[in-house]
Amino acid sequence: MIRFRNPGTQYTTQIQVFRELYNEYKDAPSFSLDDMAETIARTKLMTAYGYAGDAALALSNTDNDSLNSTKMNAKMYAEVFRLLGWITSAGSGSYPLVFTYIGEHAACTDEVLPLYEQCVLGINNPQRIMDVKYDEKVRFFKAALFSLEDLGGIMYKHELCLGPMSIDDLDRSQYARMITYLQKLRGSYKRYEEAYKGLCEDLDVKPTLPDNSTRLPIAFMKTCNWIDSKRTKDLYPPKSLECICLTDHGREVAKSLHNVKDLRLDEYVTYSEAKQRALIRLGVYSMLFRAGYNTDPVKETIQNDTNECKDILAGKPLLFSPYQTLHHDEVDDALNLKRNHGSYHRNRTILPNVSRPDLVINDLNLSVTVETVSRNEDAEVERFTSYVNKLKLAGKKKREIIDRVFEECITDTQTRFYPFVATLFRVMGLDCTASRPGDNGARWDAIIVDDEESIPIEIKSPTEEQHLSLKAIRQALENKVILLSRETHPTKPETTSLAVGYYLPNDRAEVTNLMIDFKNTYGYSIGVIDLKTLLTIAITILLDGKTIDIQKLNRLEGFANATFK
Amino acid sequence: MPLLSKEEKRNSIALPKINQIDSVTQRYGETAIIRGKGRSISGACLKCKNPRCMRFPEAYISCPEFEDFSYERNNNVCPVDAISWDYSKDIPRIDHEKCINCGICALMCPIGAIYSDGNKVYVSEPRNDYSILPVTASNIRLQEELFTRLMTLNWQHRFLHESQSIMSNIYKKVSKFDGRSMSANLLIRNLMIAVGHHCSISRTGDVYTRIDAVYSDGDIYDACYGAMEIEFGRDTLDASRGILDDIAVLHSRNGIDKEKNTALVACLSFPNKRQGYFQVIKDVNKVLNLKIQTVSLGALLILAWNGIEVDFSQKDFYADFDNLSIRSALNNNIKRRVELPEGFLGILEPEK
Ligand code: SF4
Ligand code: SF4
Repeated sequence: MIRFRNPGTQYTTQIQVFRELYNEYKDAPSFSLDDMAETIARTKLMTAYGYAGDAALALSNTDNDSLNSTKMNAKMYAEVFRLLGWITSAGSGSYPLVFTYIGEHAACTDEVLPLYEQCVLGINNPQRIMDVKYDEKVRFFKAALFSLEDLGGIMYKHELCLGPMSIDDLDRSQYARMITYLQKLRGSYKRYEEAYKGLCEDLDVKPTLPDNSTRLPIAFMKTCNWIDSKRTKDLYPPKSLECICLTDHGREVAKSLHNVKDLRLDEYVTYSEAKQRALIRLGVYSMLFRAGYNTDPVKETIQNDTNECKDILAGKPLLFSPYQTLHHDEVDDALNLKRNHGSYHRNRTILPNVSRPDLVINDLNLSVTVETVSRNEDAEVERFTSYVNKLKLAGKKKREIIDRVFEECITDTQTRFYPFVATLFRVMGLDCTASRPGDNGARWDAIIVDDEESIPIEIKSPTEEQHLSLKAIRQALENKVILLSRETHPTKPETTSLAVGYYLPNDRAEVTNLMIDFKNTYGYSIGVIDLKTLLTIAITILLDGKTIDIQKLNRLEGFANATFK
Repeated sequence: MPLLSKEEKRNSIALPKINQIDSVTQRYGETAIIRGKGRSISGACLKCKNPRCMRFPEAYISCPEFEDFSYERNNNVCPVDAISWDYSKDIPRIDHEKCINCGICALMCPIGAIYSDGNKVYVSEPRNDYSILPVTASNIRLQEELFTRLMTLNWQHRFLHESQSIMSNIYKKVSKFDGRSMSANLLIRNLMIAVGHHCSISRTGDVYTRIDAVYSDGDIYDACYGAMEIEFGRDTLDASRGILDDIAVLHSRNGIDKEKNTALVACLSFPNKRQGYFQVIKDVNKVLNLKIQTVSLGALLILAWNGIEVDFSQKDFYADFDNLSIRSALNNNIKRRVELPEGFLGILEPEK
């Protein structure tokens, strides 16, 4: 199966990135992936951790992961532009890169879409330029348009993998078999599921892989306005699936493709050198012509070349994209292009010194109690206490008990999880109550009531989100503002506002940044506690007779971490 | 081999047959009237070499105060791609299927050649009152000089008089916007530009930038600028949370002082009391001393249709739980009463 990796699919961003690259490196002999990453970051087309421009690049240079992610970003754009034939390998390796003659047109034109469309049609296999090779011999987008036509103007995305991505499209009988196969598949979701599973097994890949590789082609086709999306049950009842439908424009393009000379590498190599050179010129100029460029300045060349290739073309327009098929030296040579790189100066500026703040870890110390804990005994606390004791009697160690309760909570919805969190705070001796879920859009989910320092708590149940997100932090800030404004419970500005979730946030760096931003700007502290930590505190209190330093909780800022002393 | 150029079938530009232009006025629903030397003609398309009705100058879509903001470079005037060049007539063509009747293209036209009958938007073709000239450097220069003259006249564009049916139609079309598309953000950005601001929106698909948009009135001495959240759905609490996030990020990372950040929330309709949004806006004002202003799509349309350059620095568009309306701010700006009933589509106050 042909695989499209999954690069940046947004057309406008693609074009913006490409223009910036062109401006920067048009006079350079070639450019590397690092050059690309630098430009993308510098022109604010990439952001890292909420920073853009030089700061983003500086950050990514000081951080291994995101250095990779900046480069990944650049790589992904390189991939798209290479597919479109706008840039290509300068030499024999994959990098460095150069702009092609078609790419230069793309960079210098206002309305790129018509040329973009030609380049999408130009994608074909086999070719001599991409490092990945597939067995299939196919001009994929032509095959996809034809398949859409032959399948009633509508397809489910996975039919692209089962069909046009997996055939040699010039082999008419293979194509016809593929269409019949898909037609027969339709009508039953089960049949489709088995076919898709079969494909993944044959290829020995995870089911997500073929799925992912439809994203770029669908984005290409949407950008070209060949297809729309539509949700329907018609193809694979009873399942309602998001399908792609041919637009009027898509239909027109498909129709026009029935009457072209579709030239591929296999055929190209059989011709004499003179014919090959003529075909290259005709291929490039016909793409530009169809994209609305004025080819009058090369009228004579076109005339002569058309004569030379009369027998090959048989009066039809040529569909052949040299830069997407051959090495650029061969194409440039036929076009008589001389690359002239004299005046290029690489200016690498000094990057500003931006460092990302380290994660704030706060230890909530548990210390041995001297006095007995005064706890507000209530039914829920009792129930939890006896459950923990029962597990202990059954021979479970503390760690095992914590893990067990932790795992049992994973399916909790708001109705169970909010009161449970409140119970755990009550185990610590705090007066905590949960609000009814859905009670009020703009209020805390639970609150620790105190004569001086009440603490609002934002809770995310594991069924809402397993990892706490920025959202919860924003809501914790809002809770703080609301509590101070509405004065429903006594509190102080310096008292923390809590966010509690099942796991700590995935993107801890950005969450930390936001907490720091809030503190810098509004002066309020946000504390984050995950369920494991909360359970550790509560169960340690129950089993070891310890207590927690409430003052530390009141001033919590950043992620909590329980340590035992 | 030099690059080939796009086939330019553009072969004419137009200039009004009027020697000295003294004034221009555009009334609701009509093309402009151009007066000079005792003569008056109606505004028609000049077949501009760089049609201002189609593309904004780069400066409009970027904000000098927000240097580091990673913004969308699409500079189309039309938020829904409904306007394109008609090479057969050599004037812009409007696709009535796509057009939502927002009037932004009309407001950008320097000679008032675009108008709406309340239903559809038209581009007026130049007739006898105009000379049709070949596209030469000197003719283009003449045209540019004319634009400069028109600019200095500082005339007021008017597009449409608001009415319930016009607003309902627009709201109906806008509510069909694909949530994943950029159209809502482009529409708000372009309206902000139409009411005299620079405005940038974050790039499509940029998951790192949480700020929806930033704007600036471009004043060199005492600029009014701020962050914006754009919320066309029901989740307006997300907008109030978002704006606090924006202000903090800009304050702590980008040196935009929170006191100077005249933040705005742009929504489709004012949220009703029960949604909690206005209560939170009030809390924010009370506790953080920040007045977050709220504008609706409809309010921006009315301001733009009256050619108003809006000043947000006075916080006239501040509404909260105790005062849920921006009607008086609108009336003051357009110097008459807005003719929409109370609560209509949530344009000036929450729906009833
Ligand atoms: S409509 Fe106005 S701005 Fe557009 S091309 Fe004509 S004169 Fe120029
Ligand atoms: S009125 Fe608005 S939607 Fe219609 S063409 Fe002009 S800018 Fe586009």
